[in-house]
Amino acid sequence: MSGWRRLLNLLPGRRRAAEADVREELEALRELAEPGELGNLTLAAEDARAELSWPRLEQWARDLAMAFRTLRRSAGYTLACIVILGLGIGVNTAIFSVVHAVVLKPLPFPDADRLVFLWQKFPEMPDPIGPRMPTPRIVYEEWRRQDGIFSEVAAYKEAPVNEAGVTRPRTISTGFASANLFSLLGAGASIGRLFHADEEQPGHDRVVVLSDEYFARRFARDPAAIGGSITLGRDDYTVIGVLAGQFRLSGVYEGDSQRKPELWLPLSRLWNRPADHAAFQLFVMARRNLNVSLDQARVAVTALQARLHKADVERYPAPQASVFPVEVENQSNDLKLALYVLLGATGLLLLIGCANLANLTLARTARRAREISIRLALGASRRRIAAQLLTESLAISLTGAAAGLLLARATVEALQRFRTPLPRPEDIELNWIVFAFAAAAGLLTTLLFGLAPAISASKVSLNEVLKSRGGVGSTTPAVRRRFTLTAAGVGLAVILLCGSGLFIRSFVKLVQTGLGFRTEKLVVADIDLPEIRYPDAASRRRFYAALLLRARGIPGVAMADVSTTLPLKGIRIRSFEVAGRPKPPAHETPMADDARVTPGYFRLWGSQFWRGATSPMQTGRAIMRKAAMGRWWLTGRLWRNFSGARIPWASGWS
Amino acid sequence: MELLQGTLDMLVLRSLILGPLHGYGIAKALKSQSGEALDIEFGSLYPALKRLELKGWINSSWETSEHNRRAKFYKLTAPGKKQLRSEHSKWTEFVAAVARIMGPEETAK
Repeated sequence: MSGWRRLLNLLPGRRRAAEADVREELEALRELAEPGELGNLTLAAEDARAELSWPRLEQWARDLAMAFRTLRRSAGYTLACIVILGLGIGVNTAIFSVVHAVVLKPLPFPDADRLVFLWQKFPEMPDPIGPRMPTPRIVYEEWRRQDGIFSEVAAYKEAPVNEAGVTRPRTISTGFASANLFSLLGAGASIGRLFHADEEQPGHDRVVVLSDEYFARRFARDPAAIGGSITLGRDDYTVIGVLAGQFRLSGVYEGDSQRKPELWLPLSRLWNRPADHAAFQLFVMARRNLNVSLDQARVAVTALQARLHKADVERYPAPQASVFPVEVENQSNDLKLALYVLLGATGLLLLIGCANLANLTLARTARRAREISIRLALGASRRRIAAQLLTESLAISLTGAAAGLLLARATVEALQRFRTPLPRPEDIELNWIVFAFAAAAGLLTTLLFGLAPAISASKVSLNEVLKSRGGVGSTTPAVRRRFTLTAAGVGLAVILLCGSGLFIRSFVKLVQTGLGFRTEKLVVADIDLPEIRYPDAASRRRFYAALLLRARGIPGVAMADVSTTLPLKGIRIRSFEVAGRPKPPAHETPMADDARVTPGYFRLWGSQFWRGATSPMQTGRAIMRKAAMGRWWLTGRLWRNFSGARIPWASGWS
Repeated sequence: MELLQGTLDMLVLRSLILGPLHGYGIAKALKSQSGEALDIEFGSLYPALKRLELKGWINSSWETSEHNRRAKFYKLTAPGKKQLRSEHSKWTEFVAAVARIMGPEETAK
């Protein structure tokens, strides 16, 4: 309580009132007492004042106020300092906020440290896909039967589903989830409920859980939607609940395709044909039991997979399985390393800024030698002078940190607006940890650039400066210190320059490598055909034919073609057979990424054909098929194996 | 006589138990009640008053003194009375403990 009143007494108005009151009281007492009986009343008043507040703090507040006044008089110096520090602290704070959001902040799942992803592993396929193939249902169910390793095993898959029964039907990203996925990830319903275990059974699984976004967009958050039904594909589903707004899935290695399903259906809705049970389609998550280490879980899962694979290679083609902690899946190590390198570089930048500022400040202190000497001569202690100068540096740093925070905010907003390889840009925020970082950076810079000038000022030789007529009495040690600082600054700058030079070189190399296709003057549009209006391949083919005809008729359009995918975007691996060759064992089935395109597609991209006169091929991608003519385009590796072969595959648009 | 460290606050509180006093009055009361044995300097008494006031154990108001002069009078508050009771019992324990150690005065041999 007394601390609080003392704090209030720091306010100038209250302090003046309290001091006046003390003076008045003592004056009254002096008249009551015998002359001299009360001793030195000035001293008593001084001691009382110390009780009323914190004299040191008061002094510091006065120093700070004076620092701001002094700095206002030398606007050029102050502005230069604030700009340098603002840039330095701002960039560091922005990068730190990214590091904090991406690397340091724990994932929003309960017991996230025991949460793992389980995958099928094909050792002969390259990282990161080889050890991370999705899991077929039959293996997932084996995992669920395991006792003792995992307390919970859940699965999901994201797939597009056609929304029907609305005026503008769309394809909607839909999650198929086991009933326990939400409890595993600590998600709850904001309205209604999530899946029950028995809703994983066919016949009971016509239920849907909405994401908060979908609930807001389609139903304007009207609770009456619960219990109603929506049509997806050809089926009606009963709306049972809405996921709480903050729900999200963990990122996986794919980075780019952060899955954010708008609707959730029970996992069983995924399995319509017997072949689906062996399809590599599920993302499996599990929580380790408390007494099971990550290594033990790996050993157990690998042993089980080896046993299954050995017993029936056809049914279980993956020879191994892998286990990755969710925090590993959620962030790529490359990204982590890049962020730390970036933070290091910006830290170096701030250091260089500090060296420059220290130089500026030293020069300024040298110019102020006369002022300082006079204050020393008037009785100021050297400590007070040093404290005063350090306070000035602090005032600059704090203003710089404030400017830096503004810059950091702008940077973070820009990061969120532009496409970056960050997993969840919306998570980046300027929270109190980031504020603390900025404040700490401010204090650190104060020490870095303010200490040397403060020390050198406190060593000013009174005699010499006052005797010298010039006024600018830069003493030799100060000059030497400035040389040291300049050397340090230049050294740091060279390091940073080399680093960024290498950075830029790699970047230039990357840009010059070329994608294997041309992107100039190219316009791309996404098309979703509602299944209701275009139920079969023939109707879709008619639509695309009409679309291309009209698109090519638009003035200024040179070429127009359609494809099921875009270069370097999304991978859809499918297995295939080669006509006239013996069927290989299941685990050696050739697999490739496929896309369906119209005949002019490669000309449109400016792709180079590598071999074969009329069956052209495109480098870089896997297999391309000319839908209507049953002919294949192959990449180099596949060409060597399969050139001239015929690959039977269902025709028509998918 | 020197004052034991920390006892000044307690003495000031005790001096106010009979009613409000101004700063000079407190100094006089302490002097006379100790049989002139304690002569507490006003220079240390006055900051103690401010300290106790900030702690909320006493409060003050301007009033007219017996000689028709204005002065600031200090009064014990409820928390101040509680504090005095607790300090009093602590003091009694302390004196008893010290007395047990010291025993009757030994005659120098």
